[in-house]
Amino acid sequence: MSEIKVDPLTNAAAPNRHRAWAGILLAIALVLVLVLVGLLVALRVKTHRASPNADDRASAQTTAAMTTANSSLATLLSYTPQNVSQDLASETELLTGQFKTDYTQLVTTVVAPSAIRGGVTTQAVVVGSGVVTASADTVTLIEFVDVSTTSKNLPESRVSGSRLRVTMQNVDGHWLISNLQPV
Amino acid sequence: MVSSEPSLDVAAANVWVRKLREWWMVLVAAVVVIALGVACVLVGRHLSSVHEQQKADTDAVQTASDEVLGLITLDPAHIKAELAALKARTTGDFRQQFDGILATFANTVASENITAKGKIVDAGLSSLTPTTATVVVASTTKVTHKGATTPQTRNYRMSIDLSLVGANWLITGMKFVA
Repeated sequence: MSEIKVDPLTNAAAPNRHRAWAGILLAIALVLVLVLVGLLVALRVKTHRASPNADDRASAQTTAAMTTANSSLATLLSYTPQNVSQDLASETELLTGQFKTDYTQLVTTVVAPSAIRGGVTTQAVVVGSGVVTASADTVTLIEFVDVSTTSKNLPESRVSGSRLRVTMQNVDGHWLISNLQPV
Repeated sequence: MVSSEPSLDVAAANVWVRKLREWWMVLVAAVVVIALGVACVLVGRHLSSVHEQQKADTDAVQTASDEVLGLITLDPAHIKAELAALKARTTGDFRQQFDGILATFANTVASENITAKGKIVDAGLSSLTPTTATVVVASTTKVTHKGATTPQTRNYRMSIDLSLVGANWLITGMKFVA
């Protein structure tokens, strides 16, 4: 029979010690889980709210929204008597929500008849733009637009500058205009 | 009593196996704690960088807005203090240019009794790098002067260039978007 030296004290203390350590570590793990959840929630809130503090005013996503807004605005605000009605279908593809309905109605009932009657031609150029607020799905921009206009009564081109607040909505990966108002 | 070497090895191995069985939970818990700690540090650092980025955005837009508001809000009685505040937010060549017109500007405001009450309508970040920013500002002001005591409303479109100098965004250029 072999002899094994057994320290009764060690054997008695070990189960208590490892249980104590496991308890301490699990408590620390629990605290860290709570901290991690808190940090992730804070990160989510910070990166997804639409406010002047939102982080992605200069992100690639926001830059894409601004670039799309610039080209869409130039398209929407430029027309001739010949294409003002014809281009409406393709122009509404740049819009979304209630604004799409409102814009269609405005062009059909006011802009197109007036442009055809008065021989109005406009050419719009975005001369400045900036992101006011941004979130993952919505970007609000301030846009400076110059519109040069000629008509039957105005053969010499007249340029007027405007300031527009534009809201862009990300719909299935496409940035579309969901609101547009002069400020 | 006889104690053979192989028996001792087996016994020692048994002790280790038993210890491992007793401590495996502690080891797993330790690994979990380390992993969670690393995750917390990484997420915390990302959150911090997001915060810094947001602060840069906000500070640049705020500085540009403050400067424009100062420029379109004029009171002949306090014009020197107002212009000093405007100058304090500028840097580089633009500061020198600004310095060059300060006296004339102050004299004109005082002699013509020009008052203006401005308002920032909207301001947006046009571009941002770690050390530079461009901000566009739409503003409106109501102006009166000696020749026109009824307030006249004027709308402005401005583009402001800024540089990060130390911890502050300062203005390096300003232009009206005609």
